[in-house]
Amino acid sequence: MDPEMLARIQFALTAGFHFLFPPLSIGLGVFLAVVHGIAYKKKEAGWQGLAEFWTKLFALIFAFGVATGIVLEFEFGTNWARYSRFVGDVFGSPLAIEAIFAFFMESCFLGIVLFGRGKVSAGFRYFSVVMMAIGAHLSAIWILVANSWMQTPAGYHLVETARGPRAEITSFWEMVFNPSTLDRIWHVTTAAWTTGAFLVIAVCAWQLLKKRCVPEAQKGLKAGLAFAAVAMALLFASGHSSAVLLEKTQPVKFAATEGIFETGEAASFHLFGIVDEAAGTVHGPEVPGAVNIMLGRGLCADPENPILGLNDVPAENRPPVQLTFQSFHMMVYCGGAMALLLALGFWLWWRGRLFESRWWLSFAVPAALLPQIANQFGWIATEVGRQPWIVQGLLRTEDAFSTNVSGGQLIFSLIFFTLVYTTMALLFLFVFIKKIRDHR
Amino acid sequence: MADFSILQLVWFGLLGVLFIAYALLDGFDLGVGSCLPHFKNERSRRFALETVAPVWDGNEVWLLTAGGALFAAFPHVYASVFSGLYTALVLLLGMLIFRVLALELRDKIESASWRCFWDWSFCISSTMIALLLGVAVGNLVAGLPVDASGEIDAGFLGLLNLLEPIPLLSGLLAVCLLRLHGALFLMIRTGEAEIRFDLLLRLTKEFAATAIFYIALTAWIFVTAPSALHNFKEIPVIGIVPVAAALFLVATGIFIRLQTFRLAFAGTALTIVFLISTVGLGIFPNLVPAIPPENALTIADSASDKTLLVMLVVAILGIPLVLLYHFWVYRAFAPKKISR
Repeated sequence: MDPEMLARIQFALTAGFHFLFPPLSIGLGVFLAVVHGIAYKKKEAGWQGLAEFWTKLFALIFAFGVATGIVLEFEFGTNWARYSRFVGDVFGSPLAIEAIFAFFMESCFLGIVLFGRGKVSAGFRYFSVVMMAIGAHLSAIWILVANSWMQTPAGYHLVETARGPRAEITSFWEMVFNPSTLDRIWHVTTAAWTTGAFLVIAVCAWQLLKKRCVPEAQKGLKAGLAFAAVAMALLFASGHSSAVLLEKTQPVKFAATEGIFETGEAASFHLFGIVDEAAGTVHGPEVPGAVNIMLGRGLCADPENPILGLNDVPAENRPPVQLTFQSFHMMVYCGGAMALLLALGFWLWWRGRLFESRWWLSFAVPAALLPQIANQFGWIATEVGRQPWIVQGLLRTEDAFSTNVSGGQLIFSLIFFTLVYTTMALLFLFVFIKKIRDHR
Repeated sequence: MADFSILQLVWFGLLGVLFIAYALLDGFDLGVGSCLPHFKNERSRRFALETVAPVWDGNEVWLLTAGGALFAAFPHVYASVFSGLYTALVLLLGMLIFRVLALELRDKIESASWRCFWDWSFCISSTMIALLLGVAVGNLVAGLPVDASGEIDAGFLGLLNLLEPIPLLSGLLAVCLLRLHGALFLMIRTGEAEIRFDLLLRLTKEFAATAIFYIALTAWIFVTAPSALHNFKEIPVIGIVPVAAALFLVATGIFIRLQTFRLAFAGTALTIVFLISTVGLGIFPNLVPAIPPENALTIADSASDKTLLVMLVVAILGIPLVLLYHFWVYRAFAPKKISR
């Protein structure tokens, strides 16, 4: 296999595996800040038990996030050397800022939260919980700044240097607040909150099904539902505005996510479908004009300001349409399923039957996977949809990988990371489930 | 000498500060990890692990910060070094992952063999990290094969340079010095007679090993790599720095002998500071000295002045905050609070 494909597979694997953990630390960070806060105020055993139990789970998740995150920071240099040379002047600073303003905050205060009970005052420990949660968010913000710049580069100019052309910064703040930064931060952060909230819901639902720690689980379930409701309302709002922005800033990716081939049509939403790239069409039922309406363009096509179709994009500038389309749709389906489960949950809560309805609790347990699946597919749609560019319009992925790393080295590292990550996944599940089972 | 700006000079210095902070702080927990199997009973192992548990993660972030700063300030060098030393880097990453797992998972299952497995994992990964980083520093002293376009060729399997004497001796010195540093850290954090007795035996052996590798490495560099001494011949006054490193190492030995362990810990800390400074002064203005020398990656291969300036502001704002966090953590887990 060619080195470019191997490097891409390895990055997808390592980034995808890493991203199972940070959304949980971000979401649970907020949850812990609230629950520890209530426990600190009320000094009630139920809340304290909930807070300490979730702190332990948080620690495990955080450690796996750290272990898999280091790989990514080094991988830009190891596997994407030409990319690093080209964008380092712009892209390196958010990474360094993330380390200095976020990683230290998270890891230092986590140390105090985990081991500081009885060694620091309860007030200072609560302060540490809050700082840890803020650190997790700062980390997300800076890495998303870096990613957003790859989608919608701004605040730079191209300079010819002795080592070849590269992007150099002209305005730091324009780079930071590039067109897609704010929408992406909102969408990913609220997705992370949702991911955390659904894990809380799932674990508490399981405890209620097994009649364990009932008072604690009831408190946790209500808190989780409330958190999920807020998060999902913001998630849908940010998802909508991200899509509207995408149509303006990355029209080719937008066309691929919705399977739009003809420029200037009143775009329809495909409920599901199979993309036929050769024929330039999507087979499947559609809601006519739905995408047009969602974009705020009304029912009819606007010839002055048409929606770009893939037929007008040269083949060499198109992303893999099928994968982008299906990933985007999978993300939307998962979002819909989560909203449905949440709505049913609130209805049961309102009728006072939430803790007794075993069928809802039984659905809520595996539902912890839904936001994870949505996160993975969301990123696949985002990153695959940007292809063939690694930096939209500036640098192609085929010009970005390290040419001095051989296929043999890549196969070695790919096998190595696959083995390590498989082992890690098994260990994580084993220990995580054991912690939940042993908690009585 | 290559032309360079004040900002490039400042960033060369700041990178040095970041790597020194990493070696000082993560250095002692790597050392503790490497020494762990020498503690025979569960109680002293637990003590050793509890000493590093609240702080190791913050310490490791210095390495990430140094990596991020290298990317931002010297992107070309970051790209060349990381892709050129691919296999070694993948190994290093594997060891960093393994170490996190060992620390996190060890006490999750009540089983002696489970614990034993993770203790050995912690030991091996800590030792390998120290070794690989020491080898990397050794390669900077000896110089790496760099071609005209700035790509590093690390030889067969991307690993061959590990087998050369200077990098290998440098790696072994790093392992021994950090083990000594870690054992001293444990010593000043415990009042328990039994653990102190074990540690005292350890200290003598680790000091002897450190001294042997230090002398061997120094001698080898003098004999086989006189080019590494170029800067010290040009400006003899900077020779104070390597001499200070040697004196602090000797002082460490004396303080161990006198059983004044806080001073001995300060001794290893200063030895580390001055040894890394020696390497920095020796390679300046190169970041990666090369074979042939004209292909060296220098501090002139930096990001734009604009980025260097932005990052300098970030460092000025960020580092005091980071030091404050560290102050809080280390104060919370200071020994008087542990024993009572």
